[in-house]
Amino acid sequence: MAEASPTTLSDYDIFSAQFRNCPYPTWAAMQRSCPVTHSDRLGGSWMVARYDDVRDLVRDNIRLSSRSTEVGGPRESSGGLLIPPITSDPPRHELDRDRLMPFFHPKQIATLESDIRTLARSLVQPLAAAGHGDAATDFAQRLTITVLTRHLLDVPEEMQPQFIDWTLRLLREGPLDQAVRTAAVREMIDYFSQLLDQRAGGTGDDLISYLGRAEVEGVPLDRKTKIGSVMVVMIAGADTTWSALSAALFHLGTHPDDRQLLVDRPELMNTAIEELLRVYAPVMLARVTTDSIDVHDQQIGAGERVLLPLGAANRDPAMFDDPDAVQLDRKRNRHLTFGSGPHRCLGSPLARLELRVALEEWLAVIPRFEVVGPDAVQWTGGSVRGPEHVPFRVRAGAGAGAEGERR
Amino acid sequence: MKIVVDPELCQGHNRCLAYAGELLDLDARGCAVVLGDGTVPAGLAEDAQLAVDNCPEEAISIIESA
Repeated sequence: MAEASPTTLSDYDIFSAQFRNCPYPTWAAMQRSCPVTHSDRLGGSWMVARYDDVRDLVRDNIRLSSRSTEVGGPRESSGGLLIPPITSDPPRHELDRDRLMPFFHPKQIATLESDIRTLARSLVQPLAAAGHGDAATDFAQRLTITVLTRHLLDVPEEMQPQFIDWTLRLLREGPLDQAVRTAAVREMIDYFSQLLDQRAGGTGDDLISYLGRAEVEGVPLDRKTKIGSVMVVMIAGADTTWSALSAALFHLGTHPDDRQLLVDRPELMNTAIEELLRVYAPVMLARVTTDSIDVHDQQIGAGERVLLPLGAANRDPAMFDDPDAVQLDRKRNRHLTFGSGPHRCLGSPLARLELRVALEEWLAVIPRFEVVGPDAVQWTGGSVRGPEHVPFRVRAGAGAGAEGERR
Repeated sequence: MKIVVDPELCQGHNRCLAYAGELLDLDARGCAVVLGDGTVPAGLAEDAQLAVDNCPEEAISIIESA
């Protein structure tokens, strides 16, 4: 039997190639027979996989603290990384979240649609002309980072490679190498600290100027929170979104029927996006217990790290019919891709808008394409999972270009 | 038949708006609020049910006798 045994489950390695590239058999085995398991790796952690457990624990911000949200490494201080509201606990959390809300209110986000559409079109057109490229690094990554740097932070476009570098060092290398992580965090703090100084007293409507002016009951907001709340946008909004978009394009480039269905029936876009978000949910959350908790008769002591893979919950057969099947018209889809409870992803309206507009523009310009060598694609691991590269070629035949031009 | 949103549970996912935009709106915090008294016209019963079935917070319910 290929099924993972409980022994294997208890020794899970979330950064192994096997788990990164295909975590589903592990989660399915856990859902069947071993709903909570532990690993000593990376400073130790527990993991759950059933929908009900992930949902209940992710909502519980009393018994599970967000002060350290990294999937590996030191649990207590998290190396001084403070990124409110992600790392905030009650009663502070609500304040830190509501402060950012004006930037992420769905009606505010909706005003970005035409700019994002123009951007997406400008990124996909050269790829169509070349006939091939990398949908992850040439499209998804650049789209996501440009929206953050241009529309939220108002920083020069030349900073984009640096932002990508910080994101990768912090989230991909960081959990495996604390020195890399610490250096990246220090560089980010220095950079955003300088920007806050430069924009102090200004009236800009970007997030950095806005946080520079922020107060709590008449007193200026503390500097660590200001810096952290700028960093959070990059840390939470960059590779999460580009991973989801890369995964969506990976799927469409490996499933011609689904790709054609979306081209033929664009009215399915909304359910299709929710379905792609469900099956390729990029995020694995981490929490630290504040008290001992009991999960399926397993005692987990205070101060322990608990991993909450949202993608596992989304494939629980107890919650979803035929959970591994991608059904672009799935209408009942209570997925947990953006979490649940007070820490619901604040940026979810932006992520959804980027996904929809990016896929619409991609399919308008490149309706026919295929991923080259999908089995060789490596998926990232840790807190954010997605295809590292999505090499594709435009498919010849019944008018790739022609279909794009007719629109 | 009425649609009801529990403001204590709603976290502003906005999944309901995609299905039942004629029955719901957003408040300043991005959370769902019912329009009017929440009465669901017969033609929108399925939309209302989809709003319930897609809410990750289980914050929406339908009251049959109203």
